[in-house]
Amino acid sequence: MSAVWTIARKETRTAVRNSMFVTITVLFLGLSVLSAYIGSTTKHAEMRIYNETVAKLTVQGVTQLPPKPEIHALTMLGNLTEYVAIVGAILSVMLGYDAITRERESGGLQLILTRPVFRDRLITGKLLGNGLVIAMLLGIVFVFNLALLFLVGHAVPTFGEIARVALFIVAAFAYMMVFLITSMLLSINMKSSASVFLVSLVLWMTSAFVLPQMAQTLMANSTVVNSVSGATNQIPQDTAVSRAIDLLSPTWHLRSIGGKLLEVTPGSAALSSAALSTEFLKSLFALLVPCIVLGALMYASFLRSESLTVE
Amino acid sequence: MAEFAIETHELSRRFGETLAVDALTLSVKRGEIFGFLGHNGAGKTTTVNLLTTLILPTSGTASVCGNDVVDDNLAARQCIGYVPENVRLYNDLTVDENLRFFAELSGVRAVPRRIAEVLALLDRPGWHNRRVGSFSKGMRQRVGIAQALLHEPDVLFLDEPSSGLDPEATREVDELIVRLNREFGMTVFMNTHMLDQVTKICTSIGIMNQGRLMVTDSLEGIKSRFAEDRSLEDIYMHFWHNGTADPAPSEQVAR
Repeated sequence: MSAVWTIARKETRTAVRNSMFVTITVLFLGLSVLSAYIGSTTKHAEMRIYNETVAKLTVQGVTQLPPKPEIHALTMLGNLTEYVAIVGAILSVMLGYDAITRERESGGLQLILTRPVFRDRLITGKLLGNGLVIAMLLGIVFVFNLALLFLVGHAVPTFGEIARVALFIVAAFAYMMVFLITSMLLSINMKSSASVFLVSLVLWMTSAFVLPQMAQTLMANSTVVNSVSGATNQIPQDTAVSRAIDLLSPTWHLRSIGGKLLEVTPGSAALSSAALSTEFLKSLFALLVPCIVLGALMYASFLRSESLTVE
Repeated sequence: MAEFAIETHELSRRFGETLAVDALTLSVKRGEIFGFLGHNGAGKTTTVNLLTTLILPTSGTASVCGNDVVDDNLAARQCIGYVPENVRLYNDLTVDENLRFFAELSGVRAVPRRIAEVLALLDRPGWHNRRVGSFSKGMRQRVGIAQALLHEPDVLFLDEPSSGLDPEATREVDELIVRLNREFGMTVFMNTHMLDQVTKICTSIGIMNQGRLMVTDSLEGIKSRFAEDRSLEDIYMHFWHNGTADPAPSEQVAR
């Protein structure tokens, strides 16, 4: 086990010294500030408009006032889902794309494999080390965003809100691990780091954009006619095929659960704890399945691949 | 303790259609500095890869310090140190961090003390906190040797240790190899093209040609088969061109 920790520590140390990785991490946190600020401004603007409307109506003697807009504090962090979906995935790819190719190119892999260490320990150490980096990053994001909620949004988060953000962070971790493991798997099986990076990004874009768009195209549209204006609106509805395509996309799962946990999806703020937990577990399961399948492939490839050392 | 540090019997390794190592039977005594000679593609690096457990043999057996490289590979790895041809290590880490990493992987106790000892042995005690990324090839080679010595191996494998080094660095490496052998009794197995280096420091040699071992003996033993005025280069070229395992009397270089 000590060999695993030794390798994990080295991976962590190398990642935090990588200037590109640090830059993207800072960008990620910077986007959180911007997102919280925009969310807070929007929230205050909505309330200001409502208050002005109510004041005008009261002056006019109107007694039936419009209902107060439902503004949930967590909505302010709504963009976090997109940041994790995009920047988080890129960070994961950056951590994993040269995990093995870099070792192979530098000759470090040969040095490690001539030590009394089982091959599986090496890959476990790398996975653990990079997983720890992701966990640390998301830990910072968690604390940082709760602090922003308080400082920028002037809202003291309730226990329920903290729990929702925490669950989102867990889902984000599983999501980022999918792309870490994918890039590590490619790194074992491909020769150049640049190719691994490129293919990893293509796979991520497929997950983030292509699959959801395909699913949207295959949705059934029902037409609704407005009885007053006569205008027609098309309302897309899931079909079995579109739903199946969505289920293949880790990014769709993250967006789906992120929207519910961060109260962006309409009606999600009113979901009971049990309903929300069920939704969360379903999404987590959907994110863990590719982690397990790709992880098993990664171990199998690494353990039987001699080309890692002889090229 | 086994008499031989390295033993192979009918060891072969095939890559597709290519037989990189063909029925290699070889013994290297403990305490030897063994120079393994051959052209590019002769099978030297494949042999080292087999002996350092990096790849598996297609057939035959090999053992290092009495440990089979397939069945008892962890024990075999415990007694070997390996320096590849191009040592680049981890550029983002300092010398100390690089050496600590490899020392911990090798199960070294008292790591800081051992790192200090090894750097002192290389006459580079002030290198601890320097980033490897800023090092020249010669400096990296020294750190590469340092990492191989951390766990006090019985057998040191060096793949072209002086390749690309300037004459001064080459001489330093040679002196270090001799010192490791004489002071610490370390057996050294060295792949090399540099015949001068072999003549200067090796106690025995083997010559490979197209995956086959042409000859193996002490340096004196091999030289005694040829005319006195024949250099190692003449002898090496003889085995390379004739491609026979040993010279027949009629083929010998004129005495």
